[in-house]
Amino acid sequence: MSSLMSWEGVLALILGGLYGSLFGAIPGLTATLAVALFIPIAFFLDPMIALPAIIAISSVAIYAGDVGSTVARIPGTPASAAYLEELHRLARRKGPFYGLGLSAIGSAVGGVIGTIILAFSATGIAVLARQFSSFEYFWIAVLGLVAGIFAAGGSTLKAFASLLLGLLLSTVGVDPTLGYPRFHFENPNLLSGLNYIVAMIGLFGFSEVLEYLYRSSPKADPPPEKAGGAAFQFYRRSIGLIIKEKWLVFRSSLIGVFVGFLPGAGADIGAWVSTSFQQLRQKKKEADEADDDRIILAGTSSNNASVASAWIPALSLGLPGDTITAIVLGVFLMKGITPGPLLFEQQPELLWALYLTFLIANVLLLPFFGFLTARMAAYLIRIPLPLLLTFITGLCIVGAFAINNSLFDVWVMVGMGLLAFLLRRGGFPMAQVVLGMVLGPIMEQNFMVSAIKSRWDLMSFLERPIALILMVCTFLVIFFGVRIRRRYLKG
Amino acid sequence: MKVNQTELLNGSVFLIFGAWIWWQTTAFPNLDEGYPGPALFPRLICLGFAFVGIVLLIRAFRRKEASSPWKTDRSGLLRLGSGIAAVALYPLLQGILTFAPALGIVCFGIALLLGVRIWVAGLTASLTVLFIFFTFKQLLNVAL
Repeated sequence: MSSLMSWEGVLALILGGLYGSLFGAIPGLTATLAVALFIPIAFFLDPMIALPAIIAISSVAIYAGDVGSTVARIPGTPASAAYLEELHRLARRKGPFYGLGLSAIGSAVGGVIGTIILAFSATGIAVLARQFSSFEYFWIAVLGLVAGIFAAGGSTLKAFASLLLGLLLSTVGVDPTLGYPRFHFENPNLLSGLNYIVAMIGLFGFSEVLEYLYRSSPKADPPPEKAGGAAFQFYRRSIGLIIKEKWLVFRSSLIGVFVGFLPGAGADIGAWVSTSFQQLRQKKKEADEADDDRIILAGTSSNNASVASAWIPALSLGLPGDTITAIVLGVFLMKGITPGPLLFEQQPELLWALYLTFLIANVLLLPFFGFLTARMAAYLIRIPLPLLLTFITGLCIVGAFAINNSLFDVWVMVGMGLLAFLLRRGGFPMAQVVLGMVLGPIMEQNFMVSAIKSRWDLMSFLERPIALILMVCTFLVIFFGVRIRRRYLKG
Repeated sequence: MKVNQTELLNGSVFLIFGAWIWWQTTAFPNLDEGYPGPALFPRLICLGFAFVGIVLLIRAFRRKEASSPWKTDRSGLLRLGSGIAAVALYPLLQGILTFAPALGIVCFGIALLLGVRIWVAGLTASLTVLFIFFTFKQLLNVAL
């Protein structure tokens, strides 16, 4: 604990936050890449400084992923893609300070709730997580996909079609059961599959450039409404809405914690499930001006709650909750620390230092670096669109290349941009393509493992209690989704 | 007979695409004892495409409103094609010219296509390359 309070510890947190905000804000650079590139430095640091720095990097980077959505409609992370349209629209209507304020403060509150749950129930929740087998993971993925279809704004059929496209794209590469290469067209670059970050850059970023090229005179956005200074919009207005919508924030954070602690799920799926749930709830009611604000709050509070809870299986079971905690486990082993139940008995001071870091990162670093990145976004948003789009093109190319150091990924990004352009012409939503790409492999792998385990007795998918509850939830979402949609169409 | 051409096109594309994917999966092996293997999920997706395609075709004949989202302006299509070609050329240019000149040329071309004046396009492309080089390579140590 004393290391964390030393000047080296404080400096590590501040620099970690700054580094995370830079990585998150630049399209193509992810929180995972930020943590991965930090490892060579972490090797030479005391674990009481290296681990808090990683927490600061990941907490701030996940939020900063929203800066790309605000400025250029390019989500920095798959979690940001869940509420991309709403955030982009809100930032254009009410200004980037309010949009990013909601995102940063919502993330901070979600992160604090996630941390409190992490601190007081890590071992208990880990026991529940151990009950999850491939059957439960399969149903979680199906639930996320079904909620994603009904949460789409336009036609349910077209959302379903977009989801199918995403699922199909996720099958490219070596299959999870026999290791058989699918849809690779004799190209070795396709054997490892399509990376969904590269796909996102093309679907959301490059497609925007193509849209502008096709329409010679695009509609100019009206200037955002003026309602007080930057700090007022960033802090006061967003905190006001969070207090008003406290139950929404609490519920979304709980969803984030629940999804985040499942090994392999993480912040991305937490944000998708949470925003889909909020979109479904809103369809029951009359549309109002704050609908976008609530969806953003649901997504942001959920994703940072997931960041904290992803550490639960990592600390208590030694299982990674997401890619970042997978790297963290590597750091633990590098430093001679064995994660698992014994960690709680042998090194409680390390655990409390980690919990404290999560609180500091969410209460102090996120609002501070959040405001700095919002200032940066406010300047970027004023740049004339053709110049901004030229800059975005450069970022799309380099961002797609930087993920795997692969020039082939630049072609994948271009292909995805063209696909998004065609989907827009047909009125198909794009967020569901990403959802399919993220959840497709989880669904397929867990279905095949479960089916092979049970010798293709499909009734085994309904026999386990948690699996059955998740299946019932899936059917409830379908039932209410269809009912709400019918009422919506009649109205 | 009037039909909604956008939905007709969408429906037909999904049906044909679904059939093509199904045909691709015929070469995939099965698991032991004949259980479905790598072909199972792609085929389920094909069935989904067929369902979407048929419903869209039915809609095309029932709902005749909706104007086409495609405009007839050829210059728009030309700019679109040139933009795609410029970015798709980057991997080839990078191999010949290395990162900075290749990215500069592509960004310059895109800026011109977006209607930016030539000297502003040059300046924007140069600043973009400089920003990306310093941020990615120098500051964050990302290989380019």
